[in-house]
Amino acid sequence: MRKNILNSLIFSGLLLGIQLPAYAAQGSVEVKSIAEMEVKTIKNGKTEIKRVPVKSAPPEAEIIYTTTFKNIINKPVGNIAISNPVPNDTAYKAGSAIGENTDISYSVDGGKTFGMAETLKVKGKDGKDRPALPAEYTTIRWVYKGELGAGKSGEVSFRTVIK
Amino acid sequence: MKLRVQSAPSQIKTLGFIAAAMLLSVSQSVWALGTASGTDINNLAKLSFSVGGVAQNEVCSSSLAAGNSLPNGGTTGTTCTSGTNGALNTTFKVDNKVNLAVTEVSTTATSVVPGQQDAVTTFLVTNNGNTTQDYILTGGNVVGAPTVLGTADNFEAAACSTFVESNAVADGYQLATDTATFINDLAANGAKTVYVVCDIPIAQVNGDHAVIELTAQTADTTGAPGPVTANGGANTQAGVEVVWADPATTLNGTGTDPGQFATDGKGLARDAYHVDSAVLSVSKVVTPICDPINGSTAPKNIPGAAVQYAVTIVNTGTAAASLTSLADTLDAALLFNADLISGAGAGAACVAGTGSLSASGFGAVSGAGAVTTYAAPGLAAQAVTAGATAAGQALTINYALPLAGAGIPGWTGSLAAGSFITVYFNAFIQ
Repeated sequence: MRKNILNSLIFSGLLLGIQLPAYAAQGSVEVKSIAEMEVKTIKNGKTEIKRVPVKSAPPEAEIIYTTTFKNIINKPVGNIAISNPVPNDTAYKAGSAIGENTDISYSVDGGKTFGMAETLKVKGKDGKDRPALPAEYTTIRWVYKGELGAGKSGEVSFRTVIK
Repeated sequence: MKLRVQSAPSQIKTLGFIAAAMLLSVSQSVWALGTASGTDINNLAKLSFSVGGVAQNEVCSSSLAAGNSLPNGGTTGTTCTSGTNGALNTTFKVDNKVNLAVTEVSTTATSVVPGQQDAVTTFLVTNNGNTTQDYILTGGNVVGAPTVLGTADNFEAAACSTFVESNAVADGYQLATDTATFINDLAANGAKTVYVVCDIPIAQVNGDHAVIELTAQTADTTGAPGPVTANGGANTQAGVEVVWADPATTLNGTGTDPGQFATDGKGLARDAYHVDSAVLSVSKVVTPICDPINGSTAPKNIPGAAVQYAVTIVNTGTAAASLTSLADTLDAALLFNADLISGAGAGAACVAGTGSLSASGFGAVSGAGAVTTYAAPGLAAQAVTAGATAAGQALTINYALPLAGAGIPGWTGSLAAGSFITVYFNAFIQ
């Protein structure tokens, strides 16, 4: 009996060993994040603005980060929240965070707490609280309202400026 | 009479260097010119969710087209790490933003004298970009007649060379040590003093003006500096690209910035040499002060009479002159009066040893103005001086320190523009 249990444990472990990668490769939600820049081109006398992937960029360039998320299982997914830190050496551009069907909040403490833009405070040089500037935001959070149906996807984005 | 004179306007530039150093220390604190080139800017987004009301492990983003759905090991608060559980940074590098400024330092033209060698104009080259760069320097005389620092160019300075300050803090051009001809490895936000050094032709006259220009071109830092080239076209390479960001400028009020093109990786500024030389005139006036018959009342030039010689140097130029010495030889019919008598009174007082004004035999007076003739001082107190000597008929006036030490208060041996100095002595007619 004992031997049987041991055998089944080993067997389960083997199974687990095989199944885990398969399970992992087929998660529930697919998350992708890209960085782009806007490039102006003049075509037939008209200025066109096109987005191109960023390979490299100089200081003061504006970068657009777009995160897409897709439900890849056959059940609806709920309580979706995306948090994205403002990258190092960049500053959040005021008012740039957008996301359809989402509530957007911000953090000034590295993502520990989030609040609406007008409620955020930071310590001033005099040690007293003062309203936080957009450039002081450390993390942005989008909370998706309701459920994301099977096979559906959503998209959120924000802009930063390279310091 | 022979007069030796040395003009010395260099103090003006020394003040300029000090002022430049002060400006630098103030300005650097307010410069903040961007993230260093080559810095990786990384980003990972994190998604939390639930299925059927049950919280699932969070998922970190990938920059790959397929995205990432691998769970990150926890339902809340897990940290995303690129390369783990499918997470992959969305990343790019910060480019090289080339920006520089070249400025004229002193805000005044360099005061020079005709024939001056190695006259110095001073510029500051500032790296306003985000990368350490070399700078190729081209400095020299501007041909043409631009107006810079108040005066139009009307002559060409000769044999110009360009040198970089060798010290961390500029101490003025030093021939022996400031020998580099390009700026090597100037860090972002850094600034370096550069000198353009030229010779002034001997034929120039007061008021002449020559304009000098320095151009700095941004260069790479490997080996001998080569000009950097901006990367045009699409942003396609993953490495650091060069973006020229130097701004266009327009002609400024002083002409030190003639107006510059934007985005060419170059900066330039202008300075000028202005000829400010001392113009000296020397006069020697003789006045009878007494004779043995008439005393000091309407004295005549008879044997035994005393005459007073006044040697006056007037500077009618625009720069101070450092006077050195003056030599004079008395006529053989004259005898130097070793105690500078006043000669006041009856004829009996018109002899050596009576009414002495100066134990050395010399007096001196100096002041503002361009008086070329000298009025007899009479009995009024005058500066006496040990700075002049008589040996037989040979007289020597030393205008440097001995005269200053024992003679005129405040006199340093330097005759300011628009001022005079008179040294006087008596001689008896034999």
